[in-house]
Amino acid sequence: MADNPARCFYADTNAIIALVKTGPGRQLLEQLGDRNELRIPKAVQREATRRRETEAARWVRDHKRFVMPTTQDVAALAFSLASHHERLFTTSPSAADPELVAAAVLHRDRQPTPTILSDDTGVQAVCLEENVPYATVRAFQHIFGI
Amino acid sequence: MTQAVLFDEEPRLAIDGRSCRRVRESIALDEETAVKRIQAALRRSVPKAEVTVAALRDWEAGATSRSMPEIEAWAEALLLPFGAMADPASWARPQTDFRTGEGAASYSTHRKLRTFDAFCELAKEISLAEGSAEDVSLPVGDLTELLDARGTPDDVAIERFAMAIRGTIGLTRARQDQWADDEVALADAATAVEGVGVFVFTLSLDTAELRGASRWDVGMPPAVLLSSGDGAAPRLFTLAHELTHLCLRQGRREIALCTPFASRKTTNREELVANRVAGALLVPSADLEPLLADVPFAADYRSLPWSVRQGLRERFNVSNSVLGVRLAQMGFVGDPSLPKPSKRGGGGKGSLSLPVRYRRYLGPRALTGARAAVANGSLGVERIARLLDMRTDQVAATLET
Repeated sequence: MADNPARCFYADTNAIIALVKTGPGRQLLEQLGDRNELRIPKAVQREATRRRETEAARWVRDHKRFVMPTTQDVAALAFSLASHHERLFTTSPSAADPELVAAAVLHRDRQPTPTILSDDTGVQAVCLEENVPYATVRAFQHIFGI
Repeated sequence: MTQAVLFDEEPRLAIDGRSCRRVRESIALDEETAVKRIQAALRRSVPKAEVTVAALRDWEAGATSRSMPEIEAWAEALLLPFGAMADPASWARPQTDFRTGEGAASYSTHRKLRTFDAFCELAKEISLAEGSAEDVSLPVGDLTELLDARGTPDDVAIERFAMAIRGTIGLTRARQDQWADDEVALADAATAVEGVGVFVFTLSLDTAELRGASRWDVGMPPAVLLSSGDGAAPRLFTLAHELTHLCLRQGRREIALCTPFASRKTTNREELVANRVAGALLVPSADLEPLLADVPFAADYRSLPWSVRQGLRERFNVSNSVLGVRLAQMGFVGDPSLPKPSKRGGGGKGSLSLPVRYRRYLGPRALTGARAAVANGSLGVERIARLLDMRTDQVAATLET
C-alpha cells in the first residue's frame, strides 16, 4: 500500500454503480482503493447498500476497507452544505452527496487533494462553488484508459 | 442492542425536534407510522436498529442530538430531503383541520372541507347500515417500496402496484375500450372504484387551492373528493391519484389534500408516486407499447403527429398533459422538463452528457428498442448518435446493459 498516493478520489454512489458494472472499472476501483487512492464516504456506503441485491451494493459491502468513517467535522459541514445548497442536491433524504462534498472540502489541503468522482450535475455544481475538483466517470475512464 | 450503543461511533448533530414534530403533523403522519418508517429506513443499514414511539416522542420534545443514519431515516419518514433537517420549521405546511376546515387558505375551501367531512360521516353511516364498513380491500402500498435507492419513483415497482390496483377494481383493457368519451370514462371508473367500497364525492372546489382529497379513517369507509370545476379527463386522473393515496394510507387517520396539479414540479415523494401510479393505472405500458411500436421517437409529446395524440386521447381518455408525462416517463418521447442535449456535453443539472442521465432521459422503452435494433443491425450506433445529438461513445455507454 502506498503511503503517499499520487492522487485520491472520493466516489459517489452513481460513479460506483457505473464503474462496477464492467470488469476493468471494478478492477481499477479495487487497485485504487488498495493504494489509498479511492475512498468511499460512509453515507455513500449507506446509500449504495440500501438495495441489497444490486451489484454496486454487493461490491461496496465486500470492500468496506475503502469506506471513510464520518467525523464530527464532516457531518457538521455536510449538514450545512445540504441546507445551503438545497436546490443543487437531489431531494433525497440521503446524506451521501453532502457528505461526499464536505469530506472533500475539509480534506482540500491534504496531499494529494481529493477529487470527487461523480456524474451528478448537482454535486458538480456544488464542487465548483466550494472550489473542489471533480471528475465525471467518463473523464475518470479516460484518465485511466479503460 | 439499544439505539445509543448502535450509533455510538457516529457523529451527532443537533436537530430541532419540535419543528420536526410540526412537519410530521402538517403531513398528517401519526407517530406509529412515523416510527415504522424510521425503523424500516434505519434497518437497511443497521439490521438491529429499534425505534419506539417513546423514543420518537423524546426526539420530538425539543432540541435533540442524532446520528447521521438517524437523521437520514427521520428525513425519509417526513418525506424531506436531508438538507431540510437543518431547518425543519420552514418545511412545516400550515395544517388544515379537515374536520373544521380550520387553516384552509380560503373560506371556500374551508367550507368544502367541512362538507367533505359531512359526506364522510354519511358514508360511514351508509356502510354501517349495509354492514360493509370492513369489506373494503385495496392493495396495501408502502411508499418506501415504490421508491428506488435515490428516493425517486421506481418504475418497475410502480407498474406492478398499478396493475394490482387495476386488478382489484376490475379495470381491464376491454372495459377501457368501451369508454366512448371522457364523461363515460369518468363515470365508469368511478363505478369501478365505488364497486370496491370507496365513496367518490364531487364538490365545486376552488381548483387553484385544492384539486382533490381522500380520507380513510379507522372504522370509516375510504372516500375520495373530486372537483366539478375540472374537466372529466383531469378528474379521472385525480380519481386514480387519490385512489393511490388511499392504498398508501390505509386505515390511518389522515387526509390527503392534493393541491393544484404540479406533477413534475412537486418534491413531495408521496405526490410523485401517486402521480406515477395514476399514470400507470390509466395508461398501462402493456396497452401503450403496441400502439406506439411504429411511431418514431419524438423530442416531446407535442411533436408526435396529431393523429397519434388524438388516437391516444380517445383510447385512454386522459388529458394530453397526463399522456405527455406518461410517454416521457416510459421513454416514448423526450422529456421537455430536461434540458436539450448539448453538442459539447456537460451543462446543467440533468445534462445529457452523462450516461446515467441518458438512461433516465431515454426511458426503458426507448433503451430496449434501441438495444434490440442495434443488436439486429437495423439501426447503427452512429445513426442514434446523430438523432440524439450525442457522441457515438456516449451512445455505446448508454446502450451498455
